[in-house]
Amino acid sequence: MRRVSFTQSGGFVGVVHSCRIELATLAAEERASLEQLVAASGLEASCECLSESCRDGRIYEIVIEHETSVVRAVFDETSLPVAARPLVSFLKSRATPGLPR
Amino acid sequence: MSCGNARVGGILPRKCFSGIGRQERLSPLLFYGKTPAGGCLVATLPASEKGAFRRVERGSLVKRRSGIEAEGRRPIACIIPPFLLERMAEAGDSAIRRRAVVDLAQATAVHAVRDLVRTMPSLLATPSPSCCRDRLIYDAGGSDNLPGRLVRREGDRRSRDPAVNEAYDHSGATYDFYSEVFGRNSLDDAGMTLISSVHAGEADGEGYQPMNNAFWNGSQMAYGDGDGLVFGRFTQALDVVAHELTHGVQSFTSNLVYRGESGALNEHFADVFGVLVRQWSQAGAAKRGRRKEGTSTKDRKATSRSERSWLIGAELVVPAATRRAVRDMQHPGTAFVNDPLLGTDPQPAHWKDRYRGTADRGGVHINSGIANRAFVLAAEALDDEPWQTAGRIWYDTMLEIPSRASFADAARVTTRIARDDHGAVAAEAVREAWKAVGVKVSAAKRAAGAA
Repeated sequence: MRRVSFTQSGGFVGVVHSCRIELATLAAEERASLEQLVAASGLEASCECLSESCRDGRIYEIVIEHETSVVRAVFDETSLPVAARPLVSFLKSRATPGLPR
Repeated sequence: MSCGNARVGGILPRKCFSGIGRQERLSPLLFYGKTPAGGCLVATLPASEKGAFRRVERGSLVKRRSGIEAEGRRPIACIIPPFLLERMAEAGDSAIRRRAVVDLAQATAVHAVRDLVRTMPSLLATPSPSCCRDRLIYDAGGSDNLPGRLVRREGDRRSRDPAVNEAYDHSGATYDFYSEVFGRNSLDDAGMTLISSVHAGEADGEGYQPMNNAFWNGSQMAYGDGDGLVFGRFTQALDVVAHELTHGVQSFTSNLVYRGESGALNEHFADVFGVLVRQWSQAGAAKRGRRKEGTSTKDRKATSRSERSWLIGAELVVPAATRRAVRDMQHPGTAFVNDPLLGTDPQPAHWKDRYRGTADRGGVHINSGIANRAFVLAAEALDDEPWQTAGRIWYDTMLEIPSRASFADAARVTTRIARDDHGAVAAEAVREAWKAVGVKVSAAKRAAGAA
């Protein structure tokens, strides 16, 4: 795994928060922690899972870049799998206003 | 139906299926029914049924779902892809496995209700016992289990909890606005009960924290308490509550598809009626105050142009020099600037500056600023209260605009309704307002709109 990108958008407020984490820049312990969260999330293939009836729910886009493949998963707060919540929580804590740079 | 870990079964009872089509019992958690049109319906039983959990964990749910697919029917397009949840359902960690199975059933049901919501939204409505204003306020207790514990019914005395009273009062004000101004009886125009959950929480993997959001889930409102840093309680602001309830009105009317331009219009209508409910309510309070003082109200407008506020969520944000609201309908893009926690308001004020990316379902909360400004310009150009001529035009548009409408469609329909029902002056005001934000109504399109 090389990079993890995260974008939170939507919600009543509609502001965008995002982060892009290069694993090579992380300390070994932090890198292992992120790899563990990604593995536990079960996000192995691209998917877009958005509720049609929910309005103003927040939307989470997670892009996991491996050496030879990319997984892009999009959920909203009604469809976010329980197993992926710790990963999203971790990424939220690192996100700043705006789209990924 | 509800969001998160909430169950669906209570809103789609088994009896719904009997009048719709054949039903098959699949598992203790899932019920499946075929519709005459070849669609399908799925509802769940309460996830708290422990017996159901055990049976599902032995694999009966997955096997039965596979059985359906083997018959050549595609019962549902899962909201979470089966590969993902089914893999998690086989995880070595029993906690993950159990929650994945629950999510599999719930998310499946949530997604299956999607088409139902579009075509038969009344199935999700809880009818009022009196067929008039009826409110139920629940306390979610800081969790995402909706609706939670019932804490106040219609007519009950005030609670000690301000969030409960705010949800009750503000949903009542919204009901009254639609009833008195447009003659509409609740969201479905048939007396639907207004259900609100306060103190909604969000799970972060380790527990729950106060939800920093408010949403409409297709059948009820949910309000978080905010983080206390940027946002306070979401029930505090009347325009926020009216915004969420207007999403409910739309689900029974235009049901604008929540993506791209039609999604931005969906957000736009929610903002328009959110702000109008607040302005109407404030004007009523001002009039009552003047009567108390013995001053005549005959020759006074309820609000002057300079007094009008077009801000959304001003009471929601924690005051700071870098923020004054969530949105500014009159001056999109200026509600917050260089805020350390929010950044800068991304709303454009003109069509040429519209957001073209994929975030926020194609910018539904971003591009709504363009139409919001058009509404304010039209309302300010007309010589009455915003909820009168302009509000009526926009309300009638919300009822008839197609679900996949574009901004050009909205401009065309509002202009036609203005001309047909309110005269040439109103039509010109509306047309000029759309033109000012870069959305033109061409002569040919006007003719089509008239037809």
